[in-house]
Amino acid sequence: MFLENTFETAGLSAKLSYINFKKEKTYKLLKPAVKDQELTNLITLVATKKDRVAFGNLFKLVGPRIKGYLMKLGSNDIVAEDLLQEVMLTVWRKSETFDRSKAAVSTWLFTIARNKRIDLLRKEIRPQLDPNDPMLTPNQEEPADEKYSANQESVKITDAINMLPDEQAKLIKMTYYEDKSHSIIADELNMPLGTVKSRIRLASTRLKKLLEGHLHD
Amino acid sequence: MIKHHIHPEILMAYAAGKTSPSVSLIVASHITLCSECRKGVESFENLGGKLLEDSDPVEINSSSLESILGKLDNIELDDQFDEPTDKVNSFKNIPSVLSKYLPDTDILTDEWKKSIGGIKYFDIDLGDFKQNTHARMLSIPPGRKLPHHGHESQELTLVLEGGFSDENGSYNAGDVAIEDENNIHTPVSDPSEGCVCLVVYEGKLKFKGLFGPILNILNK
Ligand SMILES: [Zn+2]
Repeated sequence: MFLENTFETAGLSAKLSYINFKKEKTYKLLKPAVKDQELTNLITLVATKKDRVAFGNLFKLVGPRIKGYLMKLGSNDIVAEDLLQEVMLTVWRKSETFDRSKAAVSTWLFTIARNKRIDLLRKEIRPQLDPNDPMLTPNQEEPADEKYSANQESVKITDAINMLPDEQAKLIKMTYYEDKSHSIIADELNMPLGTVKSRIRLASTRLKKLLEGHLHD
Repeated sequence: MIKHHIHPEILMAYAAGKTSPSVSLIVASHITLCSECRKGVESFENLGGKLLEDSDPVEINSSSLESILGKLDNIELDDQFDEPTDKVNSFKNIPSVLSKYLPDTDILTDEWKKSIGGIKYFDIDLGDFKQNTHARMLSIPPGRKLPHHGHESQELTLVLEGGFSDENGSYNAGDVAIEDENNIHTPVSDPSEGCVCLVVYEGKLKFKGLFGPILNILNK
């Protein structure tokens, strides 16, 4: 069922590397699986030229992972396919709004998939930050030598996750990948609810510091 | 200067798409005002992107690409994809993500329910009552003292105008008070400006949080 050579299908040769949850009991992240630059180039072609070939290649590259993400969160094959179509239609329509100087393509796709799932599957409202709100406070000053780079960000996140104890990394992944409440997670892991909550608190606090570059506090 | 922030685990849950509509509302409102927590959410969204990148791929149906390419034509005909523009924000210090759920007029209109001691409130229905999560705007007159109380379930209070203080310090515009342990508070609203705030609470309709006594009275 799992495609290991999706990239060849798309005529590209990026190597796949992903965690096999069942075989290796590890929650460490591996090196980037998809080259951000390749995806950025495809999205740029979609945005500027409405290039359907580029769009098709993008679909082949990212579709299997978006579908995998949606299925992990509990969608069956049919629902995941429908949602994936909605995600990709949004990519087509909003490709001009993707800002490569601010985020990786994978982050942009993640937020679209997340929102579509909440909107169409859970049928819930998701109040969101309005980027044009006059009330918006200015961003914190970034040092000039810390300009955003998708590759550096990717390395930083990999390092940050890998610095967490396995158990905390696992809880973080469950937060993103599994549609389960803290009490269900506690049952599954045979842990008291309070322990699950305090470990998630500990892990997220540490991650936030690591991701923001505060390594020593 | 914001001193009281939203806990990282709530920022992470919001970024992961796990928060209820009411909690999302208070997070989105706070990060409009707070660049530090906004940066935190961005970091956790980057993590989400990274995890998506690393997730197990699942084979796509063979007809899927053809099907989506067929849909692109219709989209090109209909270019109206932007969400409708928000209504005018009639509140001075309220983020637009929040003001669009409030009555379209002044804070003193009849749509805000009146209660004892000049307190006014407005319930925001985001459809998550069934999950036992609720959002309520409160307007509290200056210098109102509240009795000692404890609390059980999680309650988040975002100050929008004025403020309040208690044993733990003072809370001003943009600050979030998070109540989920057995603290004891005696909050007093700002002596000159009072306090306008958004309260989001989970659990049964029994308030034990910061403005719990007021909220309980209002629910009778
Ligand atoms: Zn904050």
